[in-house]
Amino acid sequence: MSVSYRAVQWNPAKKAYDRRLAFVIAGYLAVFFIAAATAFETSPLILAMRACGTAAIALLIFILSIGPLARFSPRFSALLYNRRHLGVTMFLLAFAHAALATVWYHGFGVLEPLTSILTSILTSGSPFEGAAQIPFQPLGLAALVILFAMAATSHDFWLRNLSPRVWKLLHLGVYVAFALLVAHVAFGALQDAVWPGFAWMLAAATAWIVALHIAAGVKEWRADRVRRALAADGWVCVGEVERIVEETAEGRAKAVIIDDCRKVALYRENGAFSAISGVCAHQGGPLGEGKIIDGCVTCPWHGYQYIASKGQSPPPFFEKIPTYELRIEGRTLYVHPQAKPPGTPVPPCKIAGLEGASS
Amino acid sequence: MSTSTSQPDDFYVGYLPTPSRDRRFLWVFLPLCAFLAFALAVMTNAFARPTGDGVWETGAEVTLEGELVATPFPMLRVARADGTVERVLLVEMGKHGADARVAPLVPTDGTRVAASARGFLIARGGQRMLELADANPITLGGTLPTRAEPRNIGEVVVAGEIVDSKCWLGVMKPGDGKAHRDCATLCIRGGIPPSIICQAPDGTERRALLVARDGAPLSFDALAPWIAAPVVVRGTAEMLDGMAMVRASEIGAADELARAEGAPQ
Repeated sequence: MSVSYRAVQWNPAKKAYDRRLAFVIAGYLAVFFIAAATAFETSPLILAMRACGTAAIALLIFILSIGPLARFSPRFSALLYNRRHLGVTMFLLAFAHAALATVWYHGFGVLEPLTSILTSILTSGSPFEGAAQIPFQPLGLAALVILFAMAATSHDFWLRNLSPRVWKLLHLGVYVAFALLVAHVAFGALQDAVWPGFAWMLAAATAWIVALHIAAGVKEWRADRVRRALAADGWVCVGEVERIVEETAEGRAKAVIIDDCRKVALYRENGAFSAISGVCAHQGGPLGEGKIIDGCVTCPWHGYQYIASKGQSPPPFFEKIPTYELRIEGRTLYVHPQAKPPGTPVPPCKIAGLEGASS
Repeated sequence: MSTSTSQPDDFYVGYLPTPSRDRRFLWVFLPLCAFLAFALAVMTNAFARPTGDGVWETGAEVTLEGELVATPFPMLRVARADGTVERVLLVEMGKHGADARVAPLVPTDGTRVAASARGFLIARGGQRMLELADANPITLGGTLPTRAEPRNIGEVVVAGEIVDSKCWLGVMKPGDGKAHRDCATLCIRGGIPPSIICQAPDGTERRALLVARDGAPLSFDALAPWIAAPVVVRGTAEMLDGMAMVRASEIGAADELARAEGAPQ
């Protein structure tokens, strides 16, 4: 959370995260060049190109795995926390790969490098049939443009100014970039490979990403499809109070879906429940999976905090989320389906027998 | 935001100390990921395809003496110690042929020209090319090797890949394949002699200079679509002082030929 923008928002955790990232990338490049010294002699620039390209795609697979893995285990949250730095690093590796290819393959000739690239894109492959002849550079270039747009707008400044919805939509472009990069490798490097294992590795990595996202999607869908009964006045039935209390530890939330799509987090705090939007105002993190720390609901993704009964971050921060009214009728807890405007205080709904319970 | 360190042990927040359970998990998971990445780095190299024995001796300038030839591409006929003659292709630095430099030095009336050429050797499988040094690399004068007529081999059908001779001989490793296509295209556009490379029945690699049916260089526009792709070249072959050259009468896609051969007659 921030009240002002900085070029890079580092804290001790992010610094430790980035140190490890730098160590692994430096290690990867070192291992790559050491391994190359014992293999068939390859031009140094081509080696560097391959090292950056393989590092970039491996990093992208890692990045795309973190989100769905975090849906299955909170242990991956630590990796999710600084994923943007991973993304920017991945773009820089991909850019280095593209720059080296441009210089080495398109430089030193009778055409300017960019003219050579354009000429190649507009003229290659025409007399041939089959996938093996599909030009692969435009696929990589298109992916690089998407990755650039994502890296350039990765800062919270853009998140706020583009709006979280537009920002998220833009950053979902990573899946298009991934598909383009898989095709780039399949129609490029793999066409020259003599070892079939490379094709299997790419297929396995692609299958892993697809399967992981489907599995996470199914998990979400199962949780979301619960149909909730409505009271005569339109309030949505959450369930029996006793059972909700039993299922929800102090300082934790029960996540519910109302109107088929809206996520609401019912936080238990000091013997009462407060209902807030289940979507973090920062990057859409699952507030229903958060926890109250120091009196604030804390998002599991990036630690953004909100006061549950007010739907807003504690001063001096200014993030706000919608709140909901709760009521108890008999033994049943209901939530009003109409969200209050972000930041609207709503008194917590006291639960008989829980008053005075410590937090 | 709060700076309290009252971090519960089961909930990660980036700006608070990492819960011990997460720390233990990361100590196992991250090294495993790093190991997989390092394995990828090793495999990418261990299973890379062979790049040939080409060399590019950029640091060692040499001077060769012989007969300067301008067509179909600039080359120097150099006498070997055993009395045979070797043809050494001449190219400029970068992706540029040496035609503009050599053509004015060789009369078109058939008069033979002796010269010395200074530059850097590029060599693969006993075939050599000289990348000319940048300042006055050719000096006229010297001893001419014995004259020799081309030895005609006859009709050939060669299935292989069209490459630029400079990269394939050793400047790029690898200097062939789809990834290298744009580079090969730029080289040939710039006047680097094109070659057709193929595998002989005994598994060894072969290279032949590729020219048009009349022995002149092929036009770039006609050649460009076929560069660095599986092709079949039909034509006649001849040996020029031990260097193979194919006069192409037809170039086509290799898979088309395979289909034609598999089709009922």
